[in-house]
Amino acid sequence: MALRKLKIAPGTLAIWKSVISVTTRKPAIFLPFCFIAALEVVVLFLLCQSPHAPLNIIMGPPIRRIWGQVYMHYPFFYELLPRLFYYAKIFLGIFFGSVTTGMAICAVSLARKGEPVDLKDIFRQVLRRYLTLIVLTSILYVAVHILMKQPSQLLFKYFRGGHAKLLFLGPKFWVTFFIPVLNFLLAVVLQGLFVYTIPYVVLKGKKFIPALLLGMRLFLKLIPKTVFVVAIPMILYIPVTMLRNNIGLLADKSSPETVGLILFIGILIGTLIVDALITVATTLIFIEETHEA
Amino acid sequence: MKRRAPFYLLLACSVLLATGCESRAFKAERRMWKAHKLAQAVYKNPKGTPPFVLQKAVDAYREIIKAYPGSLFAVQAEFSIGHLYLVKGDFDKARDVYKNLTTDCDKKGNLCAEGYFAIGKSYELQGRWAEALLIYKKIMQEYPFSAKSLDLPLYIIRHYRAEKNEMGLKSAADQGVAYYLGLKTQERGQKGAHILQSLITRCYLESGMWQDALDSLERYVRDYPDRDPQEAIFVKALLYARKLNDKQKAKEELERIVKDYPDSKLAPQAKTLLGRL
Repeated sequence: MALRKLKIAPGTLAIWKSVISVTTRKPAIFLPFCFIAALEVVVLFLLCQSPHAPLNIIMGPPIRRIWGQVYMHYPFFYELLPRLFYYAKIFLGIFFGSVTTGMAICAVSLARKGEPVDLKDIFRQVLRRYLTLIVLTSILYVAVHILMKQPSQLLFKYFRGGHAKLLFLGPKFWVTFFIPVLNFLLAVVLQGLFVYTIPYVVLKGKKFIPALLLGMRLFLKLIPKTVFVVAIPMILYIPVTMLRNNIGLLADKSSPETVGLILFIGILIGTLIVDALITVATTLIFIEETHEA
Repeated sequence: MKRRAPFYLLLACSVLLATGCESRAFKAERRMWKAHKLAQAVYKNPKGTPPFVLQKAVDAYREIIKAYPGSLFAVQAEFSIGHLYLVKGDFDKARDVYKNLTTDCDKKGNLCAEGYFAIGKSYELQGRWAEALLIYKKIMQEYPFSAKSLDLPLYIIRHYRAEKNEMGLKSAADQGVAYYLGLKTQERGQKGAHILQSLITRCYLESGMWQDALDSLERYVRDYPDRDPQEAIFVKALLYARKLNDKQKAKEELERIVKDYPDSKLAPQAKTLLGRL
């Protein structure tokens, strides 16, 4: 049976040419992502120092209360570190990442128009819509956090209920293959659903609900193109996901400090590369579709 | 940028100050972890492990003892060195290491009991039960309220049960009961008298003396009505049902829980069992 040729949405490959063109002309577009990545690295570094004075005065009580005293000791602290960093990333993403994303979107728009990119002016412009951006980013994080947990929770419940197989396949297939693939697709779709919302806020000046609805409408109009544009950079994150899924094994084989290194690699690839590429590419699509340029 | 350099320098210094210094305990825990990793190679294949691998692990633990003398880490490291020699079958060397743990007992307190237990265990693993038993009795005598001494009578009973030595089993049970009764008479024992009564019950249960166990459980219910007596009644019911085949008496005990302790966690279980009997 001949394989069907994969249909790529028209203009998808051309978008990447535009991305390269815009970013090489104006590398300042990457500065907001560099800032948020640097912030994440600092926070990761500080979290790694949680068991030690003086940070243990602040971090110690909540860690002991929520997870137990054992997690203030080596090597158990490194089992907790990914979870602590996950919550820290949510906080940083909502309160700082929303601003840096907005700034990057404005910078892309100015670069596309051939106008000078002044990050100070852009910052002031984005700050005026700070509250809206925080709410939108919060919704995205909550949606991702809740929705992405559901399939794995349902499957675990099913197999814990005593069922040996689902659709003639055992739990190993579902847990090691199906769930990661499903999580990847869900991440792509959820990111795509909200990706045009922030451009509507910062570039078109729309309010919260109109921006949300217009962003979703634009996504539904451009599903294949958006999904491709979001999925391709996210493929770069798969090796990081695989490292994170085996973090315990890697820590045991080498040293628990490897956990910090893997999280650091996640910042470099996730924030600096994947997020930057998705934001720039989808902003260019937005500009093209809404005739912003 | 030049004007901002002092600001960035200040920021960097603040971040570094906020991190502080790694605590001594954390460093020690890291070293222990590394030493344990080296020891794992020996535990995985004790007979096939070359001497240099064992020595590497031992040296790692000795460095911890040197760096943190008198600390709990040093004690753990001594035990670990002893265990390494034990798994390699070098019982004399293991005992020499464990003997270090039985010095300064007035400072170490109950840790010495653990050290003596390790010595006894090395004799036991070597097949020298008589010498092991002497050490265990020494622990029971000299460290009467330590965790080890409270567990030892039951440990000795289990040993005879595993060997299917009926005479030894009966004698160990009687000695265990006498030991716990002796502790009960002491002032310190009166505070935990209900625990000692439970241990007496366990002596009878471990040695298969069901009637004596029933009497001990009934005594617990009578003497300690504030200490979850329904659990003792439940055990009585199970004994009647499973060991003595007396379903009538088992039902009576279960009905006692349902009637006298209806709000306890065991009441629903008792009702279920009543339905089955």
